[in-house]
Amino acid sequence: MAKVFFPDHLMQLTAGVRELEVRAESFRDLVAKLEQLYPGISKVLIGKVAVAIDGDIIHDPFLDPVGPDSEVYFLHRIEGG
Amino acid sequence: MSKTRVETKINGEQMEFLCEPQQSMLDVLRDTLRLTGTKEGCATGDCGACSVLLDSRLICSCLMLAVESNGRQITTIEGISRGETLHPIQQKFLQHAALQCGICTPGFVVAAKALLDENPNPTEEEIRYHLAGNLCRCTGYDKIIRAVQDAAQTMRGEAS
Amino acid sequence: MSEARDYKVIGTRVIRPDGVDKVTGRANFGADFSLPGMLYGKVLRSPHAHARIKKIDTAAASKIEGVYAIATGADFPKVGHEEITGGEGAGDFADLATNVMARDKVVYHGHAVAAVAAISSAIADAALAAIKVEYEVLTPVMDLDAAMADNATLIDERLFTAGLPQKPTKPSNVAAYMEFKRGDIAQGFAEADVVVEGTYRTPTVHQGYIEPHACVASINQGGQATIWCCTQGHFDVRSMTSKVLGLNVADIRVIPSEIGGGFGGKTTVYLEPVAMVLSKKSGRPVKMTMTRDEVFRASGPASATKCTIKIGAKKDGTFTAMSAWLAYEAGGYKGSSMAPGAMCVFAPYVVPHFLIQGYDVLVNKPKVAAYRAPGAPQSMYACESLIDDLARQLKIDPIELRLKNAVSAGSQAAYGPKFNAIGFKECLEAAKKHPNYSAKLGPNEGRGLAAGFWFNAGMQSSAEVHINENGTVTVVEGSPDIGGSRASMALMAAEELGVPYEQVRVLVADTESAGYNNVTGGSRVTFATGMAVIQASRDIIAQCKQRAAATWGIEEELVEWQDGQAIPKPGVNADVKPLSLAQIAANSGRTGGPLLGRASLNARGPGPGFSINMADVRVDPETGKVDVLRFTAIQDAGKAIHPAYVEGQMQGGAVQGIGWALNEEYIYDAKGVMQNAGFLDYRMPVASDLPMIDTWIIEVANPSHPYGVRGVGEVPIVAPLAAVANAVRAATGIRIPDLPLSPPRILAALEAAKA
Repeated sequence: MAKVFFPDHLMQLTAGVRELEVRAESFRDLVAKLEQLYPGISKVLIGKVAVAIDGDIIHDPFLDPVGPDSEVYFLHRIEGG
Repeated sequence: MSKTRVETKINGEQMEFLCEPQQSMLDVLRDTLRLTGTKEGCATGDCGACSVLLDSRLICSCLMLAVESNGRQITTIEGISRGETLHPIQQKFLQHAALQCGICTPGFVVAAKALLDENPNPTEEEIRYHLAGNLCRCTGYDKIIRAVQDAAQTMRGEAS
Repeated sequence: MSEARDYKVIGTRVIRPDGVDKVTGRANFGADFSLPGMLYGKVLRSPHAHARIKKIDTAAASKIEGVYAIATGADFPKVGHEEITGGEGAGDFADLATNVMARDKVVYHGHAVAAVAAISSAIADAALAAIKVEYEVLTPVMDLDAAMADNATLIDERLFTAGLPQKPTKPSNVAAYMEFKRGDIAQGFAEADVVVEGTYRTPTVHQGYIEPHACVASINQGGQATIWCCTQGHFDVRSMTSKVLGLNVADIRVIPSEIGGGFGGKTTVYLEPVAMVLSKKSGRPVKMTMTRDEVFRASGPASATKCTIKIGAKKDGTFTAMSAWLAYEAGGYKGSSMAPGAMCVFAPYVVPHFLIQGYDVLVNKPKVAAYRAPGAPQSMYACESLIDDLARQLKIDPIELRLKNAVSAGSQAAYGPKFNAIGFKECLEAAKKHPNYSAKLGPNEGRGLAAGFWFNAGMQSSAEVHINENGTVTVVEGSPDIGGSRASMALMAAEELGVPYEQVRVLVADTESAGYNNVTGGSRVTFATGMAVIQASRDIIAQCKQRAAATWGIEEELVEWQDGQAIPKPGVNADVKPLSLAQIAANSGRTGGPLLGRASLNARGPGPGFSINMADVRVDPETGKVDVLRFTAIQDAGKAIHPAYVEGQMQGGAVQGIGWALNEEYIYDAKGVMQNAGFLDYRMPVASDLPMIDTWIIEVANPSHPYGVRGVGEVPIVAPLAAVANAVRAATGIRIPDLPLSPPRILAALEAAKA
């Protein structure tokens, strides 16, 4: 099961849950599972935030694979100057 | 407004142009003569991007009226290299990676030439003070100073 | 996926392919382009920092001979609220549209209220002078304290703070609140032997690129348009212009000129949509260039900030708790770099308990834009200053204190994920060994040290590699080259293909000639566009192997690519001579047509960057002037593709940071009018202010890049602010928490200390 972590500013969408475990094969799959738990959350998680999967930050994730032991952190998007 | 006819030598070539009395040399170089190698960074004489040589004196072309060039000689960045060869200052800017975005580079090359024509063996401090009228926001000046030092050495005929 | 290997050209100091044009004046920058029949466009700007527009009368201006078009907010479509899908502080398209041309309200001095296009610059000026605007002047809100006060004048009456735990009941100037926390902050401070706290302010500063914004726009009667402009991202100019004007993306072609510096400030649009409207109304091409005064007043500077940091530590230096309260000015519209500032502030350190609170605050100043590691220099200036004071209080060497708490691979970053390979401890160890760390200091001299951090960005890039008929190579990419990136692209293509560097040329192509690319920003080009170039080169190699196999009549798997040629694998019994790239290219017509490699990617794992900077300064007790005697920049670059340009990034960032620390600031009068909107009074560092900037490149490979590359462009500006401030503290014995440390401020502090 992948470990999923939410930052404080997204915990309003998860009824205060900071971390949980989800079985998923890809980011898309993971968000679909989260949507079942927290209806409406996918609108924010796809297209509005970045993610770090096993430490690699991805700006616009979707098809990216998620491993059984992956750690998935949602992040505010950073673009830079 | 009636225009004034001006005759001047630019990069060794006799030229004539019409300009309005309030037009700066920089505007005429860039807009009338299409010598766009000379850049505008501020138009107030603070950044040196528009540096040219008036006769052999280094000036900001944004602070000079175009009519004042009548009967004088102007050297712009386009006149620094001759024919097939780059000037040693240009060579050394390339070798030392002394430019990043490149917008200030023409001004620095012209200003460095003015210095080395007058003082072939300047100290680091002399180079820094001579180039203090040229702003560069990318390089932190380090590589520019080194390029000018190296160019001076080459121009003196010493191996670098 | 980083591949340890010996490189042939990567890491060499080659001459950049665009260099000759840039030292001879041939290179064309934003203002260098002209078209026949072109008009000159100019903008009328608000003389008030905060006012309602009652009426705009353009009748007299339109009668002036030689005036071909006048535009006001009424000529622009209404744009609905929609988040700009960039990074931090990108804002909202509706705000972008009204920032480009005000509608009912102006929110900063210099805000565009009308524009004209005329046959000459002088006539355009005369027309601007003839436009009459009636304003209802409102109280300007000029700093964070005023903006956040309970009874503050509201800049946007419809603005309710986003992100608060409880929905706010009334509007305010605070656009957004963000919180990051871990552990139990009260417990963390209770466990501390020592608790230190400080409040620090940084002023509004400008990126200070030497080239003012400039563009030429031409739109025909069929609605098809071309824009020539200097930008960090021509694809973004296209999307933003299309949104602001309600045009079809496919009808706008954006051709990027060379760009004379950006540092984040050229990641948005100001002039382009205005020039388009003027071109549409006049039926002619329109050129617009900003004056330096306009660049200062009406482009996007960086946020002024107020940051309060508190650190608890054990006697041995172990951090037990950290808290940060961070307020960032956004300017007249929401969207500062508060979020990355908050995410960076404690990123270099392991701390079990922390609380970070960030505020994005409207003030009557120009809407901020990105500036090199946006948000990080301000919050990290505060934190690194306080760590310096903590080290002094604990009598621990500042490098040792940082080493004791430093993150390394596997540490959990304060902003969330665990770090993969990073080079922070390596930078600290290198600093300890650097001769400048033990150089002797004289009277009134001091040494300061600070750490820097930036995430770096990946994002979308694409590239094509074309093999010409003689085996030479053209790389086509879409990332404007601001600091020598063409050379890096050519080095990577040459390395992969096994051809000499000089045989590779690089084209930065326009929006219709290259695949999509995100901006040149986020230190992402060498990493992400470079990865696309590497992949496109590997695509070529795969095609060459296939064609060699077909030529030789052997299986494709039996062909290898080595030193720029296809050869049969060892042991393959084929009586064939190696085929070079040139030979395969010459025969391409017989083996399947031209060789064209391509790659598209959304690069993941940009690899965070860390740095340590050391500054030695001398403070003149008579005048308060600070001279920088030595400056040392140490940074993890992952792998330096072109070391001279990596050093150049480090040196340039250091000097921008020195300027931020010592001199640069927007100075406003009580009415909200900037008093120093020129290079004479907005004092950026010049050559005679500085010593050489010493650099040490550390290379801890980024495991997510084939060569180990990390972004290098932004980290360099993060550490210098605190490094210089800590040096001034060491030289004077006084902590002056507010930047810039300009002579009057230092003199006042010295005199206050005496009294």
